[in-house]
Amino acid sequence: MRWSNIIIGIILLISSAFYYLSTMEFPPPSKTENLGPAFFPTLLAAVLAFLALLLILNTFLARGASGKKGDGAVIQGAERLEEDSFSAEDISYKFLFGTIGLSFLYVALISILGFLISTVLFLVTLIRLLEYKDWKNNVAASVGLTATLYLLFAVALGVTLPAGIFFS
Amino acid sequence: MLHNFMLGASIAFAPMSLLFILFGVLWGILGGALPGITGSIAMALLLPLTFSMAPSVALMMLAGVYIGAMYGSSITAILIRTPGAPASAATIFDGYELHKQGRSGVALGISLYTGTIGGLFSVVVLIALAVPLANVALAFGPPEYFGMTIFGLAIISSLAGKSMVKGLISGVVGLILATVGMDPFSGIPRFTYGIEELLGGIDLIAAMIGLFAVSEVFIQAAEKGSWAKVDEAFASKLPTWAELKSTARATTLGTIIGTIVGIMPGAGGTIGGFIAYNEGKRWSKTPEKFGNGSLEGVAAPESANNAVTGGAMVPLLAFGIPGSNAAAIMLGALMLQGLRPGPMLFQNSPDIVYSLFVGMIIGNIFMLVTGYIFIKPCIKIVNISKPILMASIMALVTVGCYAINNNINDVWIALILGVVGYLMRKYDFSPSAMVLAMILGFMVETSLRRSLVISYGNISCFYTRPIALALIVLALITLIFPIIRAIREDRKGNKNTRPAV
Repeated sequence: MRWSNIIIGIILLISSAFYYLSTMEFPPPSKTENLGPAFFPTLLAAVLAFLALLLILNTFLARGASGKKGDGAVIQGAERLEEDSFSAEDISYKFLFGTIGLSFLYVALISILGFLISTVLFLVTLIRLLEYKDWKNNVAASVGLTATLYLLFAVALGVTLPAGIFFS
Repeated sequence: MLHNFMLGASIAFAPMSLLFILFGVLWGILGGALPGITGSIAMALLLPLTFSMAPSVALMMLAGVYIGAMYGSSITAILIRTPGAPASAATIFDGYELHKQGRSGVALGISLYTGTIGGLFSVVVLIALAVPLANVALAFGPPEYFGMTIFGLAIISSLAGKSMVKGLISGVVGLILATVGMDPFSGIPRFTYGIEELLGGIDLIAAMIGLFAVSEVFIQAAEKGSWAKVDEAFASKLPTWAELKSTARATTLGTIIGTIVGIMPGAGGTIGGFIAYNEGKRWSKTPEKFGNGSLEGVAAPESANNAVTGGAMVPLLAFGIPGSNAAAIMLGALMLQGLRPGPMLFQNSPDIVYSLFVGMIIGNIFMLVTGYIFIKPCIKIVNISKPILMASIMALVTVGCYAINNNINDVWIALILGVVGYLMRKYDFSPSAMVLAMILGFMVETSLRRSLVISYGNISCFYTRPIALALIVLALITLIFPIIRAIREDRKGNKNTRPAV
């Protein structure tokens, strides 16, 4: 049994209920426009709830029928929208959570330390975290890339990048 | 029409345009060659740069990236048996085999030449189809647009992901995200929960960068081990004229299949490549060679994935409906400039449409000219270590998203949706279907509501108008057919197992 499907189904059910409840405060339809702002969202909430129930139901049924059948109306063959495939076999959770965590930290730091300092810090730490051993190359690449991005966006395109507390 | 072409050519042949098309093609070849970086990711990374360009130049550059990436992905498919993008997945069967036989240059050359043929043919089909279709679409009213958008969404969602339910969920969540922001009719804020930045809706560019590029960085970074190093010294002998001619049948098949697959929403280079490989084998005079280094086995998928590029632009330009990630990004670039593709674009800004036609032809020719010389620099960059590359992309994404509106909130949206995209892909949902639904959501809702305003609330407008009715019926068939087929196969399966029990 795929517990992930059940959990996702429940999260989607709760979300659709929350989404539906948010439509309650919308004004009613006007005279000229008979559906009103709440109609389409209400419809979507209903469809999402239906699909979420279907996902949960399918997962239970799939367990009853045969273990390997997956979750419901499986499309046969290779008819998949490209670029959604995901085939990572050997995942390092240190790499994954490290990359995600550092990226969030980086964006938070940009407003405080400014673009230049935080970008160099972010690059050096992330490259090191992903177990690239050569410090010299690491620092050279990080500084070089930060300079390139600065030249491209701030100088060539005229974007005002955050300067941070040390430069303003 | 001829006048419009002259106008388009005058824009496309301007020195700055040529320079940006060339840059786009080279960036595309590089992105295509890098494992994990697909054509649409390479396009998404350039999106923030386009806000300062003329819309026509931005579109031509992005089309160049799309074209180049389709060829670029075959470089790593042939040399290290890792397709740079899924579009070249079918190329590894024979391409890598040829490389092992010491005929790498022949395989790469065939990929380049047949890809150019496929690409150029598809642009001709694009021109032949888009102009008359856009004229037809001019007569479309809101009910027809409603039918068209839900038909497109039905195909995209049902093709996406391993399970149809999950594909549909991805689509519906995309539609839900599209309702965030100001209500298009009454102007009241919906689902903004008091956050002022959400009044204009969730920024599509940031969403695309997050769902496509950031999620890929997380996936690549989490994977242990690095890519295989590419040997810079490979047999560089190019194919002879006779060798190229021997692939004529496969190239023709691949080109036609790729163009048709490209036009269909939801299908793209990957599906086109695989179908072309199978058909190429079926119709080949020497099918036994397939899998053992057949030139036709490279020509079929590589002509097909390049032919997808022109086909994919047909629904985008004629109806304003993107059917693939790449088309969605082109649409994003137009919207960044306050424009919407569709039949009105032909009327109001023919310069943009026709310069794109000419620009795509130029892009294909640039690819042909630079494609071979550029292999070596590509290999050098592919050999850069993965940690440095992934960190660089993350920094580029951050600055790029910030630059869209000079706003740090867009970066947060990209990051959060990057995590969402990662989880979606991990649990077999489809970020692509979600993005396309986010784009089409506005059109679905406005066309539905506008239809009912025009018909005074009478839903008969959806079944008394033949085109609208046909499209809605097609959408229903698309949604119901896979379920019927699944039930049937289930029954067949039960029958087969019964005697054994």
